[in-house]
Amino acid sequence: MESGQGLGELIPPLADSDYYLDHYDDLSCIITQGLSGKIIVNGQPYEEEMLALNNISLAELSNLINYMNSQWYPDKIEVNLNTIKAQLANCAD
Amino acid sequence: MIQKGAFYLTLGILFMSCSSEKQPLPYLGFTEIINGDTLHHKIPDFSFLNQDGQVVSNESYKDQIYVADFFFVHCPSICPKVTQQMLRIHDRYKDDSRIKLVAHTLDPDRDSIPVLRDYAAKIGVKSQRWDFLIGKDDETLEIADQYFVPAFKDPDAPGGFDHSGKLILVDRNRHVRGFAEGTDPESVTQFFKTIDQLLNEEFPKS
Repeated sequence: MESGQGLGELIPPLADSDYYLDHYDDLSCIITQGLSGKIIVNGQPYEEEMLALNNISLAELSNLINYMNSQWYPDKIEVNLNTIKAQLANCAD
Repeated sequence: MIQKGAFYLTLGILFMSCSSEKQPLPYLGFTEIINGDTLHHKIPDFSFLNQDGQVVSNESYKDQIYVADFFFVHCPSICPKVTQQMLRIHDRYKDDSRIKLVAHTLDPDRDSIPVLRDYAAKIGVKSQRWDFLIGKDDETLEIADQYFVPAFKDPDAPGGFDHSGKLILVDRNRHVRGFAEGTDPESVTQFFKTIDQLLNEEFPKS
């Protein structure tokens, strides 16, 4: 888990994850709203509920995304508060 | 002369620390001496259901040592990390029938037999080496106390329970012989040595 590999078929990986890259512009929404139902990550279905982190601040949210990028997606440019706000304004719900 | 004394003192401490590796593992908890008998703290009799619906009691583990932890499936905080460390122990000893893993769920209302069976399957546990145990009402909270693990209901905690991520090593006579911090991979690496030592103590080569 320390290296972003997830946990069996329970928790999907963050590292080398097609789902992460495909939903890159929705990360703020996913983190703050959580996920339920089935998702497919690198061909493997996962359906445990991901709890919403609904009391996280915008600064914490950008730190979190930048941390994940720095660990596993070093080519991504740093996100800032404006990126986060724009993502949150376009959440599906 | 003082220097020489200090040298021998250092040598003595070094000798003691070397030889202490041969010392048996301590018995943790309160030890009583009654009528000349030494009584170490002992996990009381128990009876739980495992993920296969089988009754698991203290009798089930009388010929094995085990590593116990406390968790629940919907735990959003430390449990995935602790389970990952339990998996390391599982993988290391999966062919060793002298040791078992025991995960007590703190949330029997939600963690039914099928939920625990599904959880075990999803983390890749197919062997009978790892029991996921369900207690009635507050049985699990009560036995946690006997393992020196703080665990209690707390509506404000993530998932509804507060508990520690300790891993507890128990010998064949249900005495607690060691701990590891289940959220810390380094602590678990050290723990392997403790487990190996207990295996050697409990199953001496004849």
